[in-house]
Amino acid sequence: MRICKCCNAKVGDSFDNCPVCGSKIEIKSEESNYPVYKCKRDITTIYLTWSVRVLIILTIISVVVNIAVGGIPWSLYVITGIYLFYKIFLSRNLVEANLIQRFLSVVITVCLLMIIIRLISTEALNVQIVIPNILFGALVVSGGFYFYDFQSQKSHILPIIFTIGVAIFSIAILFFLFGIIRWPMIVLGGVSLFIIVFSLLFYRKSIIAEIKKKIHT
Amino acid sequence: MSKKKHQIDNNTFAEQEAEFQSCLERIIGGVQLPPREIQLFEQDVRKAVEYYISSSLTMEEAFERIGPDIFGTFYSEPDPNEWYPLDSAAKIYPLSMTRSNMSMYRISANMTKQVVPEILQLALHAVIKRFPTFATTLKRGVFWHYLDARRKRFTIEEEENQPCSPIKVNTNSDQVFRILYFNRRISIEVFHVVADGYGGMTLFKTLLNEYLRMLGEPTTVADDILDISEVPKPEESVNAFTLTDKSKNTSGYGNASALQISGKRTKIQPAQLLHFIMQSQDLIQTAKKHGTNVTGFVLSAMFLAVKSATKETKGTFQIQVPVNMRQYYPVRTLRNFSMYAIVKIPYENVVDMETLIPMINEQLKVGTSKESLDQMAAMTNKIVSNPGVKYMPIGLKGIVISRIIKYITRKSFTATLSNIGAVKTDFFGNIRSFEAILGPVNSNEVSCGLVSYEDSIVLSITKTVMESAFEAKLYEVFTSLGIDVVIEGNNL
Repeated sequence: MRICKCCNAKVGDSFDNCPVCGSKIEIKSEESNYPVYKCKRDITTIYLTWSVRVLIILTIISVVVNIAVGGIPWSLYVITGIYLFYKIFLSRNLVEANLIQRFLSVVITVCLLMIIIRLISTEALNVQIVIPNILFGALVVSGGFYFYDFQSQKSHILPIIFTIGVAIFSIAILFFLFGIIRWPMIVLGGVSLFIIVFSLLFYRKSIIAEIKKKIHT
Repeated sequence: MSKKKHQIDNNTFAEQEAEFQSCLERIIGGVQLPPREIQLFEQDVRKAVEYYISSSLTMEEAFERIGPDIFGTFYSEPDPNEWYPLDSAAKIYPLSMTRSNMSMYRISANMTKQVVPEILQLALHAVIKRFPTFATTLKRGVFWHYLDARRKRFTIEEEENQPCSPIKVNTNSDQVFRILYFNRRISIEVFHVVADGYGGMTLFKTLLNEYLRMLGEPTTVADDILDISEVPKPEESVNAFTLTDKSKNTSGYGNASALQISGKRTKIQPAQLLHFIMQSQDLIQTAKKHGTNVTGFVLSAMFLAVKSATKETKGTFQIQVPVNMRQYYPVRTLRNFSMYAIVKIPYENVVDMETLIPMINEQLKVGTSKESLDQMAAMTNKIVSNPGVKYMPIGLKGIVISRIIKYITRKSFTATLSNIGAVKTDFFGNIRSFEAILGPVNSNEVSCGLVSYEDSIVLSITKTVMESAFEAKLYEVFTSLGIDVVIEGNNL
């Protein structure tokens, strides 16, 4: 403990300056009570903040240039790319930022963006074939990973259920509203059903327990 | 375990390797985790044994000191049904947290000797199994977050960041609390989602007791130190808000904005942490002389300090005083069970202690009464059980509810004063003092925690702005009344 020569405050060993009057305290003990903080500011937060700012500027530039030069709405593709970059590399959930959730949310975002581009753009994009194929691949990869590492991944069931729901819903819409049936839709329906049946046969107890936790109110 | 403080004769240890392995097998046999985790447990035990041997204990004595049941059968795959919905008060914390702002608090113990991290780590392994609600990780459901049982190695860390800095809770293996050590100080930092000060303090005291036992120091048996050989009791993990009397009236969180101390918030939070270390008897006697208790007295000093630290001249100062509801209900939950009282004094009425204290006493009496706290608890229950809130998907809640709460609570208090009270447990001269630190929040710029142990009482001040008018005035008020104050804190 030292005494500030200026205001006579009794101050501990951590300070360089008196916390009461601000004047310099000359003799400093070797053993401080607090560490010298290594990371003064959260690097991730700075990195995220600046990256998002840069992406917003790029988005605005692409739209302005596209409008100025005219022609096809190519800025849509740029925005899609920027958004996916953000989703994949910059966006992180504060709770449960797991690989399955991130992967499937990117996949569903891609599907949604493709539908939007298809609706806005005049270019031919066969979403009836492409989207079921993407969802099929996503379910195979995420389902495989989920069951391969079940003990660690079992709580990440929701994104898979959600993706299966999206898959079945889109098949139903295409079939019942538009009367469309393509082979990728059949394969997607098949893999969705397979995951459901496989889960119920081999992991019923654990999965029901996880679902109970997830939907508690 | 960064610093190697103990000289170990590796040759001696190598000769005893077979004995070590056989003793290790006895205590680690019940651990049923992946090999990598078991390897880490083994390293923890090895480091502790090395420490004991360097302190002239034999291998047998070292294992005797560690105890045969340190791991028990706790470290195996948890029952899938072992999880905890958040209590009524905790539900808002994960919704309103940001990457840089989480509701954290810290309790520290300043030991008389240098901390031995090797032993502290083992003490944590021994203690955590008695605290299942702390042995969890935060998860996200469709409607609410919840705490899911976590069976991995819980680790201690050497302190290197700002006090109460946000805790990472986004993976399966993240803890909801931290145990830190630095020189002679051991600290626990808890995310409010899991427990209030009572729960955190119970875990902390139990940990300190076990740590001291492992160091061969005398230990204590007290009500507030849990027996780690016992099975956790269901009443320790209940949501006690559901047990409160159903008050017909509800009183809520809606407050007019309060006057704030002046200054710009710094990018690094908290901007400053200061401890006013005083003699308990000095403070108690001075408070008595002024016709109030310690809380009332410190509050009156804080009102004078905030007045001198603000540039505003119109408005009301509002200081939040958390109140432990266990004093009104015979529950032993280790989760959140606190509400708060608000003491409001208009700017022009903050003149001197003599005029402030009667107003503070009156408001404290009403605000900390069972009726008042029941009304607030009823409001909390009403909000979280409202179907519109309850069944709103969590993503939407994060956007809507958190913004409403942030809007309501933003700048709603001038300061917070949390009086943890006296730590009555006897640690046989191994602890010099305790500190209670509240993390920075959006609702106010200055928070104070007060805790006493033996003959010292520590007022810890956490500020979000650098300007020093608040603490300078507070120091002046205390010293002018003859209270001897030593100031400690972090040097920024």
